Amino acid sequence: MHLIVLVLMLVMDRLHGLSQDNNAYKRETSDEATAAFLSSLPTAEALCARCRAFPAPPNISAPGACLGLTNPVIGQRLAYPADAEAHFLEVERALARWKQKPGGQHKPHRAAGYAGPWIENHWIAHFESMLYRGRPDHSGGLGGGTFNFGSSSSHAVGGGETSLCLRDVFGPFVPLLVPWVDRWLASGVGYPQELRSALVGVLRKDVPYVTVRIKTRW
Amino acid sequence: MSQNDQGLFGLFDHGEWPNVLVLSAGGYGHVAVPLLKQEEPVWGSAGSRGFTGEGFAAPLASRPYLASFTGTIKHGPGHLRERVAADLASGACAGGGSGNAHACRVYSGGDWREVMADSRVSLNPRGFGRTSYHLAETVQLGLVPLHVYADEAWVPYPDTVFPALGFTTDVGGLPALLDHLGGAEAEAILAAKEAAARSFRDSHFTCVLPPRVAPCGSSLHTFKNNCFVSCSRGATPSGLN
Repeated sequence: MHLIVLVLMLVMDRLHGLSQDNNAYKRETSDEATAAFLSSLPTAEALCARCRAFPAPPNISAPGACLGLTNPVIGQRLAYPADAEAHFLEVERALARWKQKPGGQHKPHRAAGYAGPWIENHWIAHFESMLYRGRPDHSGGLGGGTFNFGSSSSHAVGGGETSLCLRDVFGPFVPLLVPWVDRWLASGVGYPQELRSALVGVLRKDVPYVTVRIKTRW
Repeated sequence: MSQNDQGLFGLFDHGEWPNVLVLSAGGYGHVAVPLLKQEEPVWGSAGSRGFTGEGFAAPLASRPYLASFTGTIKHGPGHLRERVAADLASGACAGGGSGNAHACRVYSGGDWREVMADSRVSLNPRGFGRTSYHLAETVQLGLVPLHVYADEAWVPYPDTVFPALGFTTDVGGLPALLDHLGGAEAEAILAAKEAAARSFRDSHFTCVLPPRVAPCGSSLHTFKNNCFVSCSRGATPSGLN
């Protein structure tokens, strides 16, 4: 039964014009690209150094009220982590292989005659730039039809540019900045098992996370 | 394999991980965000195919169609789009018992923007997901979307912005809504919604947002009308709708 449904999904996806550049995916998720991404991340000390002046954690009531609509007890469990920046970087490292890499490495999927960037790609580029550079990335891959996060998504902290704390950009949430649909599609209409394991292994059950996805089914 | 089997992500059981807030363009998550692809210029503006130098789309009263659906009929579950097309081809656009008779059109082809601009309202029945690319296209063109849903509406900013610029209904409610929109009293409502669509287009229905600034620690600095808003210490709120 599962096989039949999977075949049906593949047929529907082809009808919808879904496709992904598998060679680009392999390059972007290679050991070499992953290592380069990891080396570009700031240290927790660097990211936290400017964020120690907050007298209190962010107000957690908003995510508690929102998520409590689907799970009434979750609001009582949530807490903003005392090591928010360090935990965010822990998540980034765990998911590094599937991250949207800078420097024009990332090729979004194609669907309905459009080759991206999609709202997931924009969300990641925009808010990573906010976090690391203190200003949004307006290119988002739109400039001249070329998708290139390039140096605009550099993770370098400081260097004369204003960077922000995690809570300045994401409020009481820790973000999950992964191009979910691009990864889902590149892996043959299914998430890599390694990605599932890495995600479940690094998430905490009392931290409010936020992510953006465009996937229309399943 | 189903949404229930796979969970919210297809990554893990969302019942086990209820602390992950999902902003979803596709229809499964906590907060609806626009499903965007290429950007359409406002119809009638410079650079659009409808540019005449005389303003936006033609006055509502002069448009030949009350409603149209431009797109692919076969997408979507439960023959929903076929049912919408059938409504447009029959009773719904004949004015029912009220005498509000208007033409409607179902179209698939290269002139879809022209057909939409000739319509007072553009139908956006859901597709494979709970929404469609066409909804954002409609707003970007500066026109009024009418989202037709199956189980529940999946429109962005459902309590604030969207009601100002569009309509939602299930298939069963479509004939009555079209009949209402065909009435003379609806023209002012439609004109206001078109103006709202143009007003909210750039800020809420395109990917490239202007910087928005709010004071750190304020209730504005994470979400406002389901939009992320950044913050900067000492700044004063601006650009917030």
